[in-house]
Amino acid sequence: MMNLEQLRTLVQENTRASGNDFYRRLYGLESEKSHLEIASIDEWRMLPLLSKQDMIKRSFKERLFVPSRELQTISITSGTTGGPPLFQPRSYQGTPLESLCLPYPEIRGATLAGTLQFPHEHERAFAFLKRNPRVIHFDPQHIQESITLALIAGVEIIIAQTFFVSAMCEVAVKSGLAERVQLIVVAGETWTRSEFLRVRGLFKNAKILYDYGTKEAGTMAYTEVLGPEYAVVYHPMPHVYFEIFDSDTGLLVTPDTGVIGELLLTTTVGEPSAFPLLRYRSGDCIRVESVSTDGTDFTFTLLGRVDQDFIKIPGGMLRADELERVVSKLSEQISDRFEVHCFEEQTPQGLKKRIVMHIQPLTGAHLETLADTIAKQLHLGPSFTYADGVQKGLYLPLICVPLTTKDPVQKHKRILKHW
Amino acid sequence: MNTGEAIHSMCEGYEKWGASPSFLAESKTRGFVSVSALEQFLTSIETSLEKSNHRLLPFVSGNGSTLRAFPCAPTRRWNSCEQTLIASDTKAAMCMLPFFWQIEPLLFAAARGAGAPLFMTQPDNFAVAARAIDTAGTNTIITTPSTAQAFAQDLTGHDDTHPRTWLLIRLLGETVHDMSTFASAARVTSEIHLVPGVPLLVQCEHLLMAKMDKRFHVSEEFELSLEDGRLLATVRDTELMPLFRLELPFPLKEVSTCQCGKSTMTL
Repeated sequence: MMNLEQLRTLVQENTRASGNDFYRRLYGLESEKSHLEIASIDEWRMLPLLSKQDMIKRSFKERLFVPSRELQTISITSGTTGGPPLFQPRSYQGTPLESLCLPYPEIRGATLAGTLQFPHEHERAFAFLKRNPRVIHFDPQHIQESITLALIAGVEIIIAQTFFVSAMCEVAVKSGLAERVQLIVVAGETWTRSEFLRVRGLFKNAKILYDYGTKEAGTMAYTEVLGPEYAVVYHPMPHVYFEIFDSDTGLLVTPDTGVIGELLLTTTVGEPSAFPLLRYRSGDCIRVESVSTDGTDFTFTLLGRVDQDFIKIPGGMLRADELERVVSKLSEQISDRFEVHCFEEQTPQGLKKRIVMHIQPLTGAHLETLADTIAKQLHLGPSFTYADGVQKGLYLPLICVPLTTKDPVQKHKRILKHW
Repeated sequence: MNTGEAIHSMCEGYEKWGASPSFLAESKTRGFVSVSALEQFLTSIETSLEKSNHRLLPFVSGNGSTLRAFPCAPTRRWNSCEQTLIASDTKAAMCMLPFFWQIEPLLFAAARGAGAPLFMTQPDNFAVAARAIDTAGTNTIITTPSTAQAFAQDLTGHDDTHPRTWLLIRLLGETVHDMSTFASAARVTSEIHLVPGVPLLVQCEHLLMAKMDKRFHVSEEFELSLEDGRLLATVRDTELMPLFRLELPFPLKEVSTCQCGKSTMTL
């Protein structure tokens, strides 16, 4: 990840009086100051955070850090909770960082791409890496046509969103493409383990790994090639700086194994960057898996969106508001704080969802009894409870465990995915 | 070049792109290549395309039932698009063409030539496309006539801003659309492509300003010849793509000379 010197330069360059005033205004910099200087990591941590709302408030033109003729592309991120989309300017990416993590240089085939990047960016990146620069643009609205071209083009690599790969499976298998593919790099929402195993079974010659990125910032982290244990652990790339933020308390969290929080990201996309992201609230909830010995670097798993308020499970939807309703009805036995962790477990009947609810019993209430009560009251659909699904064998029984936290004032009302 | 020389050049051209002896013999006898013969040729060279460095574009047969890969040189540019983007003072270009057309790298290069950024969206994502016009300064849209018609109606229905320029791409064999929907737009220019990204017929500024939406010029990449009532298209630079003496499946009449000096054709 970036070091203090790089962060210092980043702040200096992007707060100059002669440049775009976006960060000067965000940081409340006085007009007589030529730029902002930070001397330590503690001063860096004092800088206000950047949110999507901060960007939406300013017009597209007001967010340009380069002359408009230097812009190369415009990307879009969907609005959160029904908000408007954000159009993000992008300038020339001299070094195609998003592809530097791509292993197996011996795989010389072409690429089928359906990602946040534009096909020409992939072409440039592959040419830079002296790999086959031929890229076929995947069209989810024309899967058959995309796969036909991919076969003729000699595709051996797929770089695409998880749901695109899932969507193309059937055609890829029928056409014979699946057998030819040797490497799949997926991005976006994490597959469940069962879906991963399904895809892995269909693309039997392919190594699969994830990259992590956002439309605003491109690729920022990647995993190793995934084995059957399906541990999706991301390693940050050198051009980014990650921090962890507790959106409930508004405080930074020191990276430590097991810590959960929102990922703050700092990165520049492009040379020079059309819009550098400094301490940007990604909205992604992560769990720290390991920390480097000097404490400056960490690996992580993605647990979903910070504002994730539902999760699909067989038979219906597990919703945060419904969980709150059930918890509030049991207010004499448990506090209103909870965390719901969703897993997949191998059973003799195959992979099944396991929901573990972390709660705070107020009295000596038995956790198993509470789990049973909650399961009977928790609706996944208008006339379908969690207990109904267990009875039908759709998923495993609810387990309740005590909620433990280091922070007594920290709020806990969230759903976290572990697949 | 007389007909015999032209047929000889045609065979040389296809041979260079990997045509089989039987295809060459048939084409020589016939003296031209029909759309279905071109499709057969493309099928026959498919296995060799894997090892080539050509850009692959989708060649869809007339009834849309089959798709073949059409190779062209990776260095080839879409010049008419670049000229349109420059002439229309494009601040940002939005592509609403199907992704499988593989047109993005060509369009991106054209947009760079015009100094404009490129935004891509699926053809049916009207909500996002409308916001791109409003908030990201997108003032030129590259799309098909049918998408343009539907999107323009949607913009009007929502009282949203219309783009300043439409560049409409029609594939060979598609029907001509009524352009009256776009009357409010300042500029509507059309191109007819043999393959996505390979324009055969284009429009200049004069045709555009005169709103002569059914009149075209032959693209600078091609030359047309009329032989025995057949209209044949041949690419000027044989290195760029395998298209020699292709019989066009539609009539084209030369009607006048444009103010730009080129012949004006009408369908």
